[in-house]
Amino acid sequence: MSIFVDRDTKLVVQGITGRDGSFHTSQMMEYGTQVVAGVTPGKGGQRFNRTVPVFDTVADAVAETGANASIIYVPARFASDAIYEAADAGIELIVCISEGVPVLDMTRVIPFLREKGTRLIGPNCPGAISPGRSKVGIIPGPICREGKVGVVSRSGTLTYEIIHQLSANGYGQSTCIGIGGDPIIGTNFIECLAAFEADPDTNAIVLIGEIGGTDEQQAAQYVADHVTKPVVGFIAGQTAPPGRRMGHAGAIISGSSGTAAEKMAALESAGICVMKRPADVVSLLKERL
Amino acid sequence: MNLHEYQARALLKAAGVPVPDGDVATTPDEVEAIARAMGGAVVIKAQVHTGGRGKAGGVKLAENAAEARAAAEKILGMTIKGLTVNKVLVAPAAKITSESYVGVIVDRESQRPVIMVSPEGGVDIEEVAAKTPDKIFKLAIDPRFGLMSYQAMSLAFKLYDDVKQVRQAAVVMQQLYQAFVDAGGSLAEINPLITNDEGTVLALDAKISVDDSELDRKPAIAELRDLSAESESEIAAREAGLSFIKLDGYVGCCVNGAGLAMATMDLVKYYGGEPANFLDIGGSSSPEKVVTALNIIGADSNVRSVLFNIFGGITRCDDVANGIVAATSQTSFELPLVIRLTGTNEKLAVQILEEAGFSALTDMDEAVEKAVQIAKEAA
Repeated sequence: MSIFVDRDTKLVVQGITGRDGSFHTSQMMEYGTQVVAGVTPGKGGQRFNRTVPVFDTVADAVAETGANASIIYVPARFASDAIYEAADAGIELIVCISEGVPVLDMTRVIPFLREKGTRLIGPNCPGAISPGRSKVGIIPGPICREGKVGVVSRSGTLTYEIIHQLSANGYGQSTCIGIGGDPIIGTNFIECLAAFEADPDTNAIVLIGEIGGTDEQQAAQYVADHVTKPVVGFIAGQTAPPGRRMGHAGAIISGSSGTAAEKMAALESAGICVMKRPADVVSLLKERL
Repeated sequence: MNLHEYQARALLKAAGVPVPDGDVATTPDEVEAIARAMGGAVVIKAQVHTGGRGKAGGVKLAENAAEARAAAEKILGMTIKGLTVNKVLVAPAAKITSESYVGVIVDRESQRPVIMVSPEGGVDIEEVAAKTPDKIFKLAIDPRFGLMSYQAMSLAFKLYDDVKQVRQAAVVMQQLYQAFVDAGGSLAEINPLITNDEGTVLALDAKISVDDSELDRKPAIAELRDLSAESESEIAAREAGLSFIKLDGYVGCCVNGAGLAMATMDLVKYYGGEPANFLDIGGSSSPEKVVTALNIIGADSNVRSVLFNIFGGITRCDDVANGIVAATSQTSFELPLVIRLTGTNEKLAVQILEEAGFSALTDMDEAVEKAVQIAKEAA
């Protein structure tokens, strides 16, 4: 088992012929993901890598191939339209990799997806991977191992670092999800925690947060109230100064809230073991398992 | 990106908000001439991207043109929270009978734009929120419908008793919301929204922050960027597509990905060092980006060692290695480097680096500890 992506995930790639889209589609196919279709308006009828049919619209792709998940690699200014299109075509899971999607676009996207009952991961995220089963996104396959640790993170490469530490020390993963570093995202920590708690093949959870907002504090409260599996946490940005945006649009300390210290305290008071540095993930998991 | 008050005022005015006249000046001569033309008392306000201008002496009242000149001489050139004042706004002094607050922000929790109002205007809204949270009224807006009349009215009734003023304020709120959306804002506020001695509702101050992701599709807003308010290194970084923030330490950091960059800074501190900067070279790296990054870090005279921490995914380690070789072959670059890279094209990268006389590490902790140690020895 795993969460959100699995062997039955049938993926359509929006922006399959672009530079990033084509590179990562090849990587996903190599990993074993069922890539059933691509979409690039005006290139319908072509084939990607001589195998994957390309369509003009997501609706056509769904009708022809039965795709149930989509991944979006289109430029940020077209990303919200691509999300609407996928949701309207009946896609159940949308992963939006695009970075720099205007936040006001997301305020309109979110209520639309709620009405459709569509799950969105991202934007500005590395996607999800269930090692040995399926990868929908850009997390490097070779650093992952099959196993029972669920990983959820707001970051990209920091997640890779922690997955790398886990794999190198014998802790494989059930699913790894990067939920994205923007202020408004589709799937939050709590939804991932709930899914990991319900997944019989996940026996521990690693939560990687960063400065800005209060998502980690809410996640901590949720863990205290609803999660029985051991949780290990990390917060990036302990040395970040207030009022400066640390790369991610969501990573900014405003006023006295959103600091790493505040978040680490919230995690600890919820019974979560907090790492001082990424390498601590292994020893803390060992303690809890 | 933050706009200056005079720029925000102009956007609000264009959206129909009643804003008193005002003019921008960069010299005392100009201020004097503007004040004379306006006649009567004027207020002179420093135009810098920070709050607390009044407390710092950056806002002064002048009864006449001569006083306005004297005030301008004091304000122009002063520094407020490290920022030099190059411009002032000159506006007629208003006769204030009440001060309220009206603001729109993007709220992470409700995932919507939220309008906030308070009858306690003219002071920092964070202060009001901390001391008298019951005096702040909020409403989440459905962006598909915008701020509707009845919603704006319900908030305006929290500010005024006179229904004429309620109606005026409600229209101002709708116009503010429209200006916020049109600018691609992450924040837009009027503080204070006043009533004057004639009972008219007026916006006396304006603040707008723009979501950087909007700038590509809003060229007119992007043009409002004030380059004189930014450091050279920040401008160079932005033009190269890097995220860079200068800090006060001495270990230069060059990392791919914002989260890993923050975690690297934290680890520098963990091993007893101080990071000199936050620098994210971004996803799709190129050797050119790395050269720019090294030049920016190298220009900081506090830096005593430079740490590379690269976890290749989209970023190719060989691109970074080529960038390092290109940047360090410039004669001016002499700082010691500690390089950690792992992931995509790692072997190729190690080969490129070794041919150029560098060695590369694969463990993050080992690399950070070493960079801190070298920096301390160089002190």
